[in-house]
Amino acid sequence: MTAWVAGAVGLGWRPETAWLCGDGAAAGVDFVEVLVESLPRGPLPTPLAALVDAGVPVIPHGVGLGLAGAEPPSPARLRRLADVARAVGAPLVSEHVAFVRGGGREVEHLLPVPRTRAVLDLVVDNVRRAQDALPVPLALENIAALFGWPDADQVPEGEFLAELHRRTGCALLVDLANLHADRHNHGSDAEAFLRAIPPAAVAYLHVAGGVVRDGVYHDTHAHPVDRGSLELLARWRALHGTPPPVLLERDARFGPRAGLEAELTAIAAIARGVPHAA
Amino acid sequence: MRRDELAARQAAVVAALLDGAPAPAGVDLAVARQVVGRKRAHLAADRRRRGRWARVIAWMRTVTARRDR
Repeated sequence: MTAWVAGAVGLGWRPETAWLCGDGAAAGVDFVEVLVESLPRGPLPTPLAALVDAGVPVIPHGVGLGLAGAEPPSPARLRRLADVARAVGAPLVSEHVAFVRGGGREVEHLLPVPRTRAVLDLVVDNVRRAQDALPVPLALENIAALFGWPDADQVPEGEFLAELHRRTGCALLVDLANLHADRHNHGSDAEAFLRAIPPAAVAYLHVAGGVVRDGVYHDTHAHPVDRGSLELLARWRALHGTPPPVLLERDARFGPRAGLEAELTAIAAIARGVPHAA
Repeated sequence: MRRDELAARQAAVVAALLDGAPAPAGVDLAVARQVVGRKRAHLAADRRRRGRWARVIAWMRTVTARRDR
């Protein structure tokens, strides 16, 4: 039996990582996160159902609600998220502070909104609607912004999320890789972000790998977790103590088992504050 | 900001990313155009691949059911 506790380490469940997740604690995987939009309708895939039966916490993670969109979240999408949460016995579900469609069309990517007080009011309304439709708490994640808005009255992202938490009671999911991407690409102040976030509100953290192309950091989830994410994880620990559970996201180029296990070991060592030869 | 105002701004970004329309004033979409374009192409290829497998699996089930009748 694994546990949802501070210092726990998880891995994104994908068909390609099911074998590693299935080894549970033996592979250093304390919990998993599953992409709701990628799950087939109907019964859970057998390896995922086996994890649920074994008591491994499974977090449904959505990318399609568009909680920072101009339209309220779709009841059908919320029902699907709720159904998956019930099917896996999830302790919570997570989504993003982003918009994903406009003018009736899907972008298939997470896009940023202007972080103004007026937009915050709309996001708060969307989040409350989602919370009303979900059987478990909702955690909201910061995205890696592909562009910025010119609005002069925007508040820093950490304050925006802290206020969203204060007004809705939502939990937060801090993606350290996205924070690193914004620091690299836009000069965002990651330190100020980490200080603005109320640590007790953070359900878990994401780390991931990426690559720099033409001077732009791309959060690919297809490369080994990089120094930027791990530095921010260490910084979290220095600021707030033992971090909440940390999850490694990997969507492609999974590589051999030993590589992923080494990444999980390095993450656990930093999260738990034990010496590790990186 | 009202919902319709935000909707207009978001629709303008989507049109810029998907149709190549001009970016909204003050918004630099150069990187976003590359990333979104690459991702949509990847997702489309993935859907085609999954579709092929779904057809193969459906064919195998049909053959198996016919054999077992």
